[in-house]
Amino acid sequence: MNPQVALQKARRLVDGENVDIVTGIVSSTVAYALRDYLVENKVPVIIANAGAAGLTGEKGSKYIFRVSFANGQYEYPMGDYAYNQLNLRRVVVMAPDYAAGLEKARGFMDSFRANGGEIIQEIYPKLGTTDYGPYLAQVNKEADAVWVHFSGTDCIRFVKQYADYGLKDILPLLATGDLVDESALPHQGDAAIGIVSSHHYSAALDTPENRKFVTSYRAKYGEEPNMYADQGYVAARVIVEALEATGGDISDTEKFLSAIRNVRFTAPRGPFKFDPETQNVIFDTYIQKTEKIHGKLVNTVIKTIPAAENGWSQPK
Amino acid sequence: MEVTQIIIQVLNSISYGLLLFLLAAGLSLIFGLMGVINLAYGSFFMLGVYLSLAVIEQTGSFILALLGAATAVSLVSMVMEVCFIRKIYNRELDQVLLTFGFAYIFMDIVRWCWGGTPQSLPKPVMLQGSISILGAIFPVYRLAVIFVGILLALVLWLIVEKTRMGVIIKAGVDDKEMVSGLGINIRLYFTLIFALGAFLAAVGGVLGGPITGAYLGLDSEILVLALAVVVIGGLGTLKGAFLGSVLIGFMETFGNAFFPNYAMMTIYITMVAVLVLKPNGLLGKDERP
Repeated sequence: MNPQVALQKARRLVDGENVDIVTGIVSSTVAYALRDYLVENKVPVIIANAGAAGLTGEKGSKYIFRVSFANGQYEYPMGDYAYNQLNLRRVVVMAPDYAAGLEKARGFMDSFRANGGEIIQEIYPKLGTTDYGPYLAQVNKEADAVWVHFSGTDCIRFVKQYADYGLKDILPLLATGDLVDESALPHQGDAAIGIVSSHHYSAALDTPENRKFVTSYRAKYGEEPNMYADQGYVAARVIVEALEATGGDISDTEKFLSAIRNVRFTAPRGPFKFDPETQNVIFDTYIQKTEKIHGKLVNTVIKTIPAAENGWSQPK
Repeated sequence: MEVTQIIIQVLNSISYGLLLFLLAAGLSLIFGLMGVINLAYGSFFMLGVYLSLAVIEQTGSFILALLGAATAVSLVSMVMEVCFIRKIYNRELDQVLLTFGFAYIFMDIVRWCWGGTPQSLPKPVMLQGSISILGAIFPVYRLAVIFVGILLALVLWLIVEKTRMGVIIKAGVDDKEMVSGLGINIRLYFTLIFALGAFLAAVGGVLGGPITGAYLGLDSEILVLALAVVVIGGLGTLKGAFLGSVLIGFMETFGNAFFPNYAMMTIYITMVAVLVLKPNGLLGKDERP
């Protein structure tokens, strides 16, 4: 997570070991720190998580591709869904107080408001809040629902405390899929049941590609795959597909970049392709509901919103 | 703000404050009575959470987990005290380096044994759920934390103020040689204090676990909080640690409620304000000549 260290390591990889492609990059801060160096050195970059929209926007480059998501991209369709399908009108928004949290919240709020919905309260606790009690006590009970984004250690605590403070019984919880990440579900327990979230991947997705992916992943790692597993897989697959398209030849960088740009295949998450203009991923968004099936918590997909119907656009 | 909200926020403040007291009491003991700076303190807390997780998985009993984890952590700390800390009493810089090194070792051990995925500690079955207090919903477990926190504070106060052990320890802090001259094995007492501090950290970890969860990095977060409490309360006074914890509990809870944008700073603003008004902390005495 330290941009200085990341930059040193990138230099060592590119200058010292002459790598041809860089992939990974979980943190947006790190991605921004590496961006100029990698672009100047004409190294193709496949971002596998970092979500800052600007990485494929104002800071975009023909060398930068993103296979994961831009913040707001899968949050946006939830605004439509909440207003038109769930008939919610007044929503409280909560997210951690840092760039990604705010960007994601904005994605949801923009589309919810565009539909005519009202955000009656916004609460932004600090990232890594141990105790959500003080924030949960303030939530305006006159809302129709609460929309939140929390991930990592925050999401386990938040979901449990949301139930502890009795809000689960009063206000439906809408969220990003990050909140109910497959790795967190066993720790959240029954408190997670009923959460409706939007995401670009669910381990419960019932397609041949995903069933195969889930089976192989379980066999190898002994746990459920989650968004990170899918994103890692997709990043590697994109590189392989592009190499195969050029017959393994990367001497002509322009040709290789164009091969990456044209990669299309069916990933565990569904159809995969890049937006040729921004080189950010285009995906279908899934509205999922957390349920307990045969004693196990899963994120059942209840609606698929095709990429074409997603009104989200890269902030200019 | 409505009445029910105020009730909830006050209860939140007290339970958070007492949780902080559980964290800080041990650090305050070790620092205040032994003069040893222990930066591995947060690791004792984290080890407490993870070990109790392991015991709960095996036995399903929260009480066993609490006792088992706390005992194991205090044994580890005793070894650490006898083999290392004992050699560097009065050398504060060395203590900082050594215990900081231990903090890294403990973190790697935890990473190695439990991996990096965040986990959570289940609450004891009888303390699950919430109750309604005058129309406000509040988790039962947090009421239990308030109760246990007050109980532990009383027990500690009795040990330090009312027992022979407490008297010997306090005398030992003032003049180690004189106490040894009276035929008392002060080193043994110091080891026990160090172990008691670690025991408290682990107890804090297990009791706090269902609220904080278990994850890498918990150790440093806890260390910072505990240091803030000890500094605000005044070095080496249990009463100070108690006051400091409850003060931070209220400041942070109400600060977060009224000024959520400044949540990251509430603790530090409190700390600065206290230090400007009382440079030795709320109840700290100026011990330097």
